[in-house]
Amino acid sequence: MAGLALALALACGGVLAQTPVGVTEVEAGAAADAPLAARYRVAVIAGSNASGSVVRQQEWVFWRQADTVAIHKGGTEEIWQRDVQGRISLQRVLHAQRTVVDYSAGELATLGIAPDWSELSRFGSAAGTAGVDWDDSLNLPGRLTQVIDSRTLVRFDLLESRVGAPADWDLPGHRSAGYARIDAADFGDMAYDPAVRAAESLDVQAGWRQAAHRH
Amino acid sequence: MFSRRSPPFANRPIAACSATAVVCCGLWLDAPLQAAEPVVKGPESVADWNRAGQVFIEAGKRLSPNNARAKNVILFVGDGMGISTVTAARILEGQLAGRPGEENRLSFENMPYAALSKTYSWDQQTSDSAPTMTAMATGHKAREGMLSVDHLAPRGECSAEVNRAHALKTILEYAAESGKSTGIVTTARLTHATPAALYAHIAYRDWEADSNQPELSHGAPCRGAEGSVKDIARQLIEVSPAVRRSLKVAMGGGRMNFMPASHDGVNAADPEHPKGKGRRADGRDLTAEWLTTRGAGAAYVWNRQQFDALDTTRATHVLGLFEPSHMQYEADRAKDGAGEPSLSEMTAKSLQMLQKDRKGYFLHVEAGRIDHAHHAGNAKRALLETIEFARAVRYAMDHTDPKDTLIIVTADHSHTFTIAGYPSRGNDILGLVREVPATDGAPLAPSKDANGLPYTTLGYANGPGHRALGRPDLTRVDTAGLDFLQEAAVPLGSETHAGEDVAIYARGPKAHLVRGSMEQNWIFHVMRDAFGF
Repeated sequence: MAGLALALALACGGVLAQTPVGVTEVEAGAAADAPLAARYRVAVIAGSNASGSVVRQQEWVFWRQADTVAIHKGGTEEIWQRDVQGRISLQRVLHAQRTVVDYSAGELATLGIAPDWSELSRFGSAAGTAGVDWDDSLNLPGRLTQVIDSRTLVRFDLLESRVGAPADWDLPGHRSAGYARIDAADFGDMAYDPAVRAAESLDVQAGWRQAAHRH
Repeated sequence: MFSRRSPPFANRPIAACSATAVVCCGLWLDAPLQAAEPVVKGPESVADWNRAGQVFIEAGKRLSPNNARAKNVILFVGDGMGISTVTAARILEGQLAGRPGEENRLSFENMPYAALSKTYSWDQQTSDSAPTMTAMATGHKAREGMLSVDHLAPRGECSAEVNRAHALKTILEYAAESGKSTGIVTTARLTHATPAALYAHIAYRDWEADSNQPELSHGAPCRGAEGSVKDIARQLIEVSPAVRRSLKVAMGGGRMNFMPASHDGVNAADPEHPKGKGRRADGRDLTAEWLTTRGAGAAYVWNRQQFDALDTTRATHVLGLFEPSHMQYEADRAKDGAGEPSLSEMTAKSLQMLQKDRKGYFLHVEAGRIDHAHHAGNAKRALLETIEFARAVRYAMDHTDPKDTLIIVTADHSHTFTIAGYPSRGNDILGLVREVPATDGAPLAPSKDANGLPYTTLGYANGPGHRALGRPDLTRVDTAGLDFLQEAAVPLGSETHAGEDVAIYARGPKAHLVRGSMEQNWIFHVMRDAFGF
């Protein structure tokens, strides 16, 4: 599961933003304005190199608009939104609990999370990765390999991308309209709620709620 | 128990002896030494301590119980404002004003009467906000998660009839029935537990909008079913006729619980956040219903500009909903897109509304986000919320007459927040502990733990501030930064409430009844007695 939080952790875990070689900030910003959907195969690989055995595999959907970046990770979604003041908020969608958890900009700050919109728009930072094949036309990685520990890698392979919102794709946010809503600020009063426990668990996997990202 | 602190004269026999006679000590000094100046000094003279004590005694002697009937009652609640929070906020407020801080007093600490409040509920040693506010609002200790229903109400009961049978009348409802005006102000959602306990009667605090209610509860249809209890937002709009006339002002966050998810099949966008929408599954826009049910003078505001433009001389009933969920932390408020008022500004506007009523009023003001910042393990935001809360109390103290207005300031429960170590006078309350040096003249240096690492004065017994990899070296960390999470002993995703007593401060008619060690529900009885109901 650690790998499933990877992109989020890369984007928000305090890792310094690194613009991939050959991509300027201006180009990155321009590319990020065009609505784009991309499908990735995410493989958790046992072994110290990319040829190891795949122990788990998922398909993620990445969806980028000017003011929204979202990732559908199967059982969960992360929907990042930027308002006109540049403040960034998050909705964490938990399909098993049919619940959306809202993290306001203030709540993210309270948790010590400082999202970097540029990194979010590019599927996370390239920093700390074992390898990146960058797709300049999409401003996204074609392949991204991340070392989790000495025995585990996670590899993201771009399968397909489309401009606009493909009608036949399960894009983030499309299934959660009728879900219950929880404000992350209320977690302290709702420890009994399975959705709160699930969201807190994902927060911890992303390096939040344990102050580890800070020191 | 032994203190880890050095005794006063440890390591300084030379200085101690030199004050008397070298020969009496039998030491090897060639000449007496001058004692070095203390590195840490308070601003007080020796005489100041006695003088301040006399002022306090004389003020106490002049106190006489005010047994008059209260025309007005204001109940201030700092959600989660335990005594350690009061102490740390007092120091921070003083330090922000350039003083050492410890000698500072928050506005309400100048009230003449104080007591301790026991916050356990009928079924909790350490309580949540629902039964604690129920205790203060109704005079009855109740069950976890329940709002102004007695402790016999079944958990999660969805039957309106059953909820009604267990309902407990609140101080706001008593005031409304006596013809007084009433008001509620909070920085949390208006439908959140503390403010909701004053107007809602429901066995489950999370049913803030109908979409929060389950399809079935105890096997019976719940959400939207005939005979099911109304969600909390709806209860605010559909209060009794007396409360509808009386509730002149209700301001806070929680807009989404009053707005429909869709209108005529189209998503109903939030006015401030167009990608957001309401949570009401029944399609009702309760903000519009506030206007249609409260008469021609009713007003609804949702941003700073509208708030500032409110004409309190003309408006009769004001609903203010400034955020979809909770309002911003005071520390972040200036960054809000649509702008929103502070707690003290809402308090001021509410008093302007309520003071129009010659019969008097009941007002509740809650600083709802002290609790949230503590849950996040973020002390600075919690303390800044507390300072703003004290500012709101100061406004009320300055704009009411203690002869006819009872003001009570308290908390619903505490948090696991601690002030630890032996920091010296004036040490940054958000900083690393630096003790008074064992030898006068020696420089101040951070105190160290058993492993040689410095530590902060503020911390939590549990919460997200736990460092899984062991204690960090904080030497070069900005522990006074707004986003710093204080260390916590036990790793929890959210820091928890704590069960020790909280303080009650009071002034005005019957304030002298606030005394000693009190059960939390007795606060209601003080207010009711003051009103003479």
